[in-house]
Amino acid sequence: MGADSIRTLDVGSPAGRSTRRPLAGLATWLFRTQEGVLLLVLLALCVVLSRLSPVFASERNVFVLLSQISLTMITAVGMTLLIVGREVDLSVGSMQAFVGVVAMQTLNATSNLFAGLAVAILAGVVVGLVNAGLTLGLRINSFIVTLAMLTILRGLAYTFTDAAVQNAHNLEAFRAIGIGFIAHIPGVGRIPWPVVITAVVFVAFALLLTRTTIGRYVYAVGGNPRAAELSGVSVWGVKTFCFVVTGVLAAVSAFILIARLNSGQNNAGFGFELQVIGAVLLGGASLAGGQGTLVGTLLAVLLLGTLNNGIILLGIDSSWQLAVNGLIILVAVLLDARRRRAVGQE
Amino acid sequence: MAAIHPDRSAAAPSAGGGGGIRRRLLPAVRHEEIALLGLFLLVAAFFAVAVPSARSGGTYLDLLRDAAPNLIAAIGVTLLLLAGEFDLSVGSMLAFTGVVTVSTFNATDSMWLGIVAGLLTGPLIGAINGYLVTVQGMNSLMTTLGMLFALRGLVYVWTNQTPVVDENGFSVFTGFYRGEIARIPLPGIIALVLIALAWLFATRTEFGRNIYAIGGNRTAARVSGIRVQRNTFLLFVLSGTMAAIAGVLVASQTGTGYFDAGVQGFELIVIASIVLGGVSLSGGEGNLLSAMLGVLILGMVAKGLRLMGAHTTQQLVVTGIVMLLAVFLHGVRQRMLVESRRRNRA
Repeated sequence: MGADSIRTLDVGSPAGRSTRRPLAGLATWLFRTQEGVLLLVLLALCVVLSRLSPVFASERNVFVLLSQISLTMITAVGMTLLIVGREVDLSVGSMQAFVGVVAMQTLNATSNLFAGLAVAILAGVVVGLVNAGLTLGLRINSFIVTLAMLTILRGLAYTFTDAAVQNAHNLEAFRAIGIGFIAHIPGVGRIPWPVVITAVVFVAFALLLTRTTIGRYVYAVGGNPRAAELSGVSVWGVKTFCFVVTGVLAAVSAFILIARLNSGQNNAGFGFELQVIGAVLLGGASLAGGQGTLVGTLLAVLLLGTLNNGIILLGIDSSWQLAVNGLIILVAVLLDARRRRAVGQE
Repeated sequence: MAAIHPDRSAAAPSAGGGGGIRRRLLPAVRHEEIALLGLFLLVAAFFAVAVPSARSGGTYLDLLRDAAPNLIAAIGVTLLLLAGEFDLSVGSMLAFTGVVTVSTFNATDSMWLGIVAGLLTGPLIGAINGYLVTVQGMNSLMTTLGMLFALRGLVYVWTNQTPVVDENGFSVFTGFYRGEIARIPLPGIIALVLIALAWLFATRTEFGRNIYAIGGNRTAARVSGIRVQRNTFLLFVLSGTMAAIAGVLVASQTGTGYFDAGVQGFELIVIASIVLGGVSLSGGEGNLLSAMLGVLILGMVAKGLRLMGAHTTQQLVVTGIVMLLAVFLHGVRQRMLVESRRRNRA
């Protein structure tokens, strides 16, 4: 997965030619691509943490870690598509509050899990369509459109509730989405539902992005919209698709969040949008469009999640999480800038 | 380079009727400031009609006080945006500077030492941002996003997420915020003086005029002998300094260093106001005074809604809608401008 875009990245680099020897090719990938560097850093971090804390590598902790990153990862999948397609969505943070509150109210009113889920996804589709309509129809920069949507949705979430919508329906299956496990799998253990959902979303969209026509269109539209338009690709269609996917996936993560918290809170997701975008860019995507892979995004989200997990396990004040995340982004961007210069890009 | 870019393929709409109304609107179309001033007056007139208490002159003086931190921070961010670079770290700077200032008060029992320490954080952080972007070649959006998290995190670690209160209760310090000269609030005067200086700098010095060249076409600027790296670095230092001044002002409001100052998207609101003022996110287009009008328009909307007794929720929704409307009108204006130029040439 993602191999195509990695190969394109290496075009022109002297090391790119040595792929005849598989080991040298691997070394090139590890040291010369954003994904490779992230993987190396992630592995090093895992080794250090498992030495320092006996709990780190335990089955329980690994699944806790994976559950924790699931919300960011699900939204980041949509955001990767959107950023590759040269647009951005800042409204995903407020979506966590807005969709959460609306979905919880629907659940309370209907006591029907599917009704709640349907309303959440519908809200995601509508927000995605509005974002796309304003960006493409009125030709306003998506940064501004979705920034306005960020304030509007936050305001609407506040209008719906003063603080939080509590769970008044007590559906058992609902809580399971946030904190439950699917059946025990021998040799692997009890896998939490959020992890399963994340894996399905990731695999589905990774295949879509690398193995289907629409996936190639996303790269084409992001890389050069004019050329894509001239060769018959509907830029509108592709970008609208990306906006809607981002809206829906943000809604899915909001649904998992309310299931985990057992309430829809109007202050959920403050700053979430910047964390998601930070992870996607850390994964090697560029806001200039046409670049980025879901594997890179996954590695970046894993790296940030592992760090946060490590900080907790080592008993360090959790206030450090934010500072360390910021430093990691800085270091990763620094390494990327150096790598680009070494490879002779830019 | 600027990472987010408007739709460059935006073509002028087909020439319509071009009647008298259009010709009468032309001054507003040609001059951004006139269009924005009109918009500001429209907003002010609306609130004057809707809320009796908005009719007194005191309201506008209060507006100057409320908007001062945003205005001051926006000066630096605008100049950077014109040069094609982002600074997202200003929101966290607000908290960082405030905490440094008040902590130094408490540690040294000296007000001036505290203020100097607080103000010095600006050029320091600005220089780090500038070094990473210009010397290391890092993307400014990502760099300052990392700085946003890193600084906020440091503030959390340092303060343990509790506000730092001035133990000496320096009344001179809170006087900076509350004081007024000839009924004009001191923060407003500071903001106006800084705007005037920045405007002189941007329009009357060679460095200032070069900003547009850098933002418009970096390579061309470099080839024509402009020291792009040095100038960009200095603009980052300037942006940090302005953010620090804003941070000291916010702290002087109650003599407290708030760990969460600016956490609800200060940087995004500042950028939105600037873009509302017609500055392009891709650099090289726009001007400082229009950007300041953009800040005042959003400030007036917020103030008017508060006077109307609107809940924060409605404030957020209306702010978002005004933002969209203003940026949409800006786009329409630009297209009309292109059209009228084309007609003049024909």
